[in-house]
Amino acid sequence: MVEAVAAQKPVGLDFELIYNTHYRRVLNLCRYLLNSPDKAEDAAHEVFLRAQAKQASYNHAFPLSTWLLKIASNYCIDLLRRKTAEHRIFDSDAGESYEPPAQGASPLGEVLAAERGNDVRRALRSLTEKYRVPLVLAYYNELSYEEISDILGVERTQVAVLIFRGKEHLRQRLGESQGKERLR
Amino acid sequence: MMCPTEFTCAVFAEGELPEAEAREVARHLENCGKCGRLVSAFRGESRMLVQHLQDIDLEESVVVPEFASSSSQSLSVVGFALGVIGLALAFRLSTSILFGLRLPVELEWLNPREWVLGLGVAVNAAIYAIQNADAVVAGAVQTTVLLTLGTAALIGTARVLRRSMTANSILAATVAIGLTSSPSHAIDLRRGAAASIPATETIDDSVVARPDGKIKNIDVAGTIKGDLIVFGDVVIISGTVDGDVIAFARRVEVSGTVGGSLYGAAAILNVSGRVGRNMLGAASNVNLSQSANIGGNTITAGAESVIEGKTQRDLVSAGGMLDLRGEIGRNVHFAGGQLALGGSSRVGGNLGARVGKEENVKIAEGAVIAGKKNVTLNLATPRPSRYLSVSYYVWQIVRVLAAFVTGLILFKLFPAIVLTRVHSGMDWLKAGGIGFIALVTIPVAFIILAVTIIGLPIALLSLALWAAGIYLSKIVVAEFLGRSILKTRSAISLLAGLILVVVAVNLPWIGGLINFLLILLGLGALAVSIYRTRSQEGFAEV
Repeated sequence: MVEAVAAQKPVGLDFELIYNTHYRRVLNLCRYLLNSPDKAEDAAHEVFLRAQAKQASYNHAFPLSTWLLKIASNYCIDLLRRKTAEHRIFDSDAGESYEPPAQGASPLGEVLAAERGNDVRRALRSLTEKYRVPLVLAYYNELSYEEISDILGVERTQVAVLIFRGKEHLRQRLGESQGKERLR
Repeated sequence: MMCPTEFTCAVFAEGELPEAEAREVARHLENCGKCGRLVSAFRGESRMLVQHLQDIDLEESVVVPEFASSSSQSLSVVGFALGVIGLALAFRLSTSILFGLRLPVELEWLNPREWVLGLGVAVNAAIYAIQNADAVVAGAVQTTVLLTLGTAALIGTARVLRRSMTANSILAATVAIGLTSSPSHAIDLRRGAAASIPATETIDDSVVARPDGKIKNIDVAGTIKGDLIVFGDVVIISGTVDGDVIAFARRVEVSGTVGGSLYGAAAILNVSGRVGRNMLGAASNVNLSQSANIGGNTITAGAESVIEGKTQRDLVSAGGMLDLRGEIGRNVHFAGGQLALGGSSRVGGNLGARVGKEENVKIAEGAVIAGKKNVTLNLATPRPSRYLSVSYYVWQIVRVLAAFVTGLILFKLFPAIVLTRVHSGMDWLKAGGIGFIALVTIPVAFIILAVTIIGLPIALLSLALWAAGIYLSKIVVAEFLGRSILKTRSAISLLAGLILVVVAVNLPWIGGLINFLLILLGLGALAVSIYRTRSQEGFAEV
């Protein structure tokens, strides 16, 4: 009997609690994606409004944060698309092949470890949204290429290229800032 | 197997390579130390990225704002409506108690029917337009052409680029700079020979006297055989003009003799001399001092007319107040606020007055009216209620539809112009304050700009933008209301919001004030929203 009631009516979520618990993470995601503190605050608020409006669609099998971050990603990417003249931000350019030339900076496992988190985040922020967004989804949200390709609406292979390229750019920026440090 | 590419290694390290390919790479790694190191470097990099990006959640101190849930948001719409209506009611009630159903004098300028101020501004604008006719016409033509081209270009790019606000705003700024700078640079101030005429000089022809950039005051002390057309800041006619005088200035003083008629438009018009025929004065203040003698009729329109001198024929006056102390040969007609006849006044014919209240006509003891006295009250026939006519409703529907179409175009071109995050009372208060500043400062800036000659094109442009802002502000508020109530953003929600707003501004008694408040709130919220859209760059440190 109790089960039947529970099945009919999804357990009402305590939104006050959800909001207080997850606000910071949602806000940080929005900040990463939108690159603007003001816009991020608006977006985070809107995300919770949307989440509240469609609580029914929440699948309790998955963590709540995953669901919230997905709403946030979709919303922010929608905003980015709306802002940009070209709606296809993440599509491949003419010169960009699936198999990019294996050149340039190599992975900086050790260097990166030595970097301070702030420097990495600053370098990330300096990337264009084309590379910033996939990196954030992959490493902040820890989404699979499949999930990212769903959100961005591009092929999975394109996601791989974007992340590979994005990391290349990131290394470059970090290398530049390191060079500057050394010059001082 | 050959070594896989760096890209393949990177994807493999993420565990995102298709199964078959992944197996192959794994086999290769068993024998290739170089590729093995590369893959582990990639893995390390990914781990560090995850750690560094997620660390922000631990490092940053974030103040969690209070959550305004959707139910409280719709409540805030109700609160908003109640607030606006309540404010309008409170204001209306308090002013009616304090001022007997009239707005306080300080707020009279809010009253669109307050035409005296409007007259002053119009006269000034006309004066400056005439003063600089050549430059102004050239500037206006140039501005119109540029404005048309600019608008077309703006709409064109908006179409091509769909919704790029940045491109649009850059273009708009360029257009604005082009619009405002070229006419002002194009103005080359050149005026005729010395406009002032010394007492010793006699001119046989008609004279058109205009001031130049430095000397704005014109003094006509000499004799002009023809007509005189004169513009300036202060115009003093102490000499003799045989023909007619047409004078536009902030202040016109006629102490000399005008053979023909005097037509004066000014803020202050003082006549103490002789006018052979009629005197027509449109000014905030018209003063005919005791020594003035008008051979024909005296016709005045303005806030205040003080008539002490002698008029041979009729006196016709319209405006706020007529103070008659002199002698009028025939009839006196007055329409306006208050009429006072001093003890020394003499009216040769009838006195006709059209005023709001019987007691607004004051006739002192000693005043002589030879003919009949006839006071008509304006309020004698109450107008039928506007709510009873069909055309009223038709017009309101037209109004909604016009705003709807405007709104659709507006939000299509500039989708970013929507109100967000204005749901607390504080936000609305802020918006109202900013709106008030925008509403007040722009016309003030307009007047300041308009009196400096080179500023006129900018002034007119800013006035046009201001007027557009006032119209659009209500549409933006309506969009917000509709969206908040229906919880969707669509043409329907816009229409719903507009209907709501049009109904509200047409409420009896408080509709006008609601209209005013909505303009304030809309303008303010619009300004904030545009500012926020613009200030997205500069994300120094999260």
